[in-house]
Amino acid sequence: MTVSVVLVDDDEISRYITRRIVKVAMEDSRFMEYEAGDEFLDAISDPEIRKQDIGELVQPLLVFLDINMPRMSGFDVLESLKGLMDRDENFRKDITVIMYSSSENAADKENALSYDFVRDYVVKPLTKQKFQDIVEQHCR
Amino acid sequence: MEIREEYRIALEVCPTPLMLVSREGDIVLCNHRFAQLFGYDDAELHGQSVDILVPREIRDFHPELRQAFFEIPTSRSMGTGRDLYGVRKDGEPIPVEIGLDPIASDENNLVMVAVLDIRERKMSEAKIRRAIDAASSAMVMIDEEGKIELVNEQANSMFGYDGNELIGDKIERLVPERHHRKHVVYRTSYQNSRNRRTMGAGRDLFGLKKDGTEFPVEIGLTPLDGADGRLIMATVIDITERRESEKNIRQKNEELQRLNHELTEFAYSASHDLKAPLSSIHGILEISEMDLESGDIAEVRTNLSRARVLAQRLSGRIEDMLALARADHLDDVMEDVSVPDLVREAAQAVQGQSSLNPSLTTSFAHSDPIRSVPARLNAILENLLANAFKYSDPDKPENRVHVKTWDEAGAMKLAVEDNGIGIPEDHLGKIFELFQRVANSSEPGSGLGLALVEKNLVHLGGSVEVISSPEGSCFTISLPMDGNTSVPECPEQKPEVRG
Repeated sequence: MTVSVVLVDDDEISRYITRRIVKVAMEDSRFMEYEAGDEFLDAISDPEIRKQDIGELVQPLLVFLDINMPRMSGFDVLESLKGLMDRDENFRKDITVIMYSSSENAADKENALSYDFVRDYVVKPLTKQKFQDIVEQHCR
Repeated sequence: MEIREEYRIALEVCPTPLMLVSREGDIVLCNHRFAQLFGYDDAELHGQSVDILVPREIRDFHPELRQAFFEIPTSRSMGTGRDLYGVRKDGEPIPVEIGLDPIASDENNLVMVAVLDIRERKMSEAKIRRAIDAASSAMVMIDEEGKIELVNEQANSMFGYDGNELIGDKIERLVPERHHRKHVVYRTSYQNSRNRRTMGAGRDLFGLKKDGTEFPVEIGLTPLDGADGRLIMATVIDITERRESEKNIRQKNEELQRLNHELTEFAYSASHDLKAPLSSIHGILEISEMDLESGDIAEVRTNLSRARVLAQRLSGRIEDMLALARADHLDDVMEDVSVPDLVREAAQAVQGQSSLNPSLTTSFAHSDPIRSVPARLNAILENLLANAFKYSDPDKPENRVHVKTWDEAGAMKLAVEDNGIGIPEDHLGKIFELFQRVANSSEPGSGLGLALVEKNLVHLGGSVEVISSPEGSCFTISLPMDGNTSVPECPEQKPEVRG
């Protein structure tokens, strides 16, 4: 099974680490990254760009979403995603969001997991084991 | 005048001080007790005018009063409602009660005068009065109709009245007008229960002073049933101060909660911003281990330098946080400061932080030097310049930073102008908050720079204004030239921000 992973994170080094770990953990995975929440939202909500960027949606699309980003925080992105899903039910089935942050804050975690499409809260750095566990849990 | 012997004997056996007075006001007869009360020998008073026993201030019109009595002679007590005094031989006035009985059977018109010595009663009344006045709370006693019978000194001074001003008035005189109607109902219904309790449980009670001001009170009610009717004693406590301190405590609590909230926010942001580079270092090292295994030495080398940059970033953040914490505890020693020198030093410290390396130009037109705190001014300039350099716009053909100064209304103005990427309008309001990194840029930063600028400016008694557009940003600070800083009690002065 091919897993499609999308990473939304402003931090270049964090993107590098995540990209490397995903490749090591699952060689045939597809990996796409965005530096900002609005860029990701533009891509995911426009079928043309999405096809070009991510390809046909392979269920499920694993979205690793950073919280602390300039301009648009991870929570702002969640709100927008919720709006998209409320308009298009299929969208909800396609996307699984994993909150991705360097600090484990109880309030953040609670807030993130209150969205039904947010399935997990992962503290950075991502490791091979963590990634495989996530795939095991959410993609089978 | 002939006095019947029976009279003489009767008077002597009677335990009350008595005398017989003629229509002309002469003392015809008095008993031993009477003479003793006024300090005379038994026979001394016989034939004397009764007026010698009357206080001087009454003496002039006493004959007239006596005359009036003989015109309508009835048994009664003298001077109802007034305090009566008799005068002893030695001049000492004594409080007395006097009963008058005409003896009409004789052809001589005589009046029997009984005099009661009420010194002891007066003394014990005075003692009770002093005790009531000494009570720490105000006391007001009313009768069944709500008429004030007694007020103690505390009650008078609490409500702003004197002496007996309130006696006989309705208790509603001490109640704010808007509660009058209800108060009468409450008072009447209390007469039915008459239990000892506090007034108006759960309601806020107010007293009304003579000058019309109101004040919060607490009132205790005690029924007093006696021969003189069903009275109520109200004890009143002025709780203005208590209310005031309750309010203070409430305010302090809110302030503490706000500070606590701020601290939590700070701890949250701080822990995140310190942890982020650390977890990246962690990840980088883990990848490096993998790369070492597979022999990719070039990648290991790249990653080690990444780890070094991260470590530097981390120590920079810690440095900024410490600087922010220290900013409240710096010794504010004023010195003559040359602004051009400080700008040059600050520029040197921050140049090279941006790959675009904008050109810096200056024009100084203020009165140099100014009185200021070098460390604070340096922190302000370094952070403003660092931002101007960092947020250059790569899409513009040349990148410029310009610093200019001028005098304006006793203040030195210093503007740091850049043609960088600008600040999005909806983020302008947040730029001075801690850990806010609003810039649309991948430049690393602690999110503390402008918070540091603001904090140091507040300590210098200065202020900052921001104008920003996609053409660039301009931060203008204003500093008092004489260095006369008056640090506000609550440094909540918000920087002015314009898009």
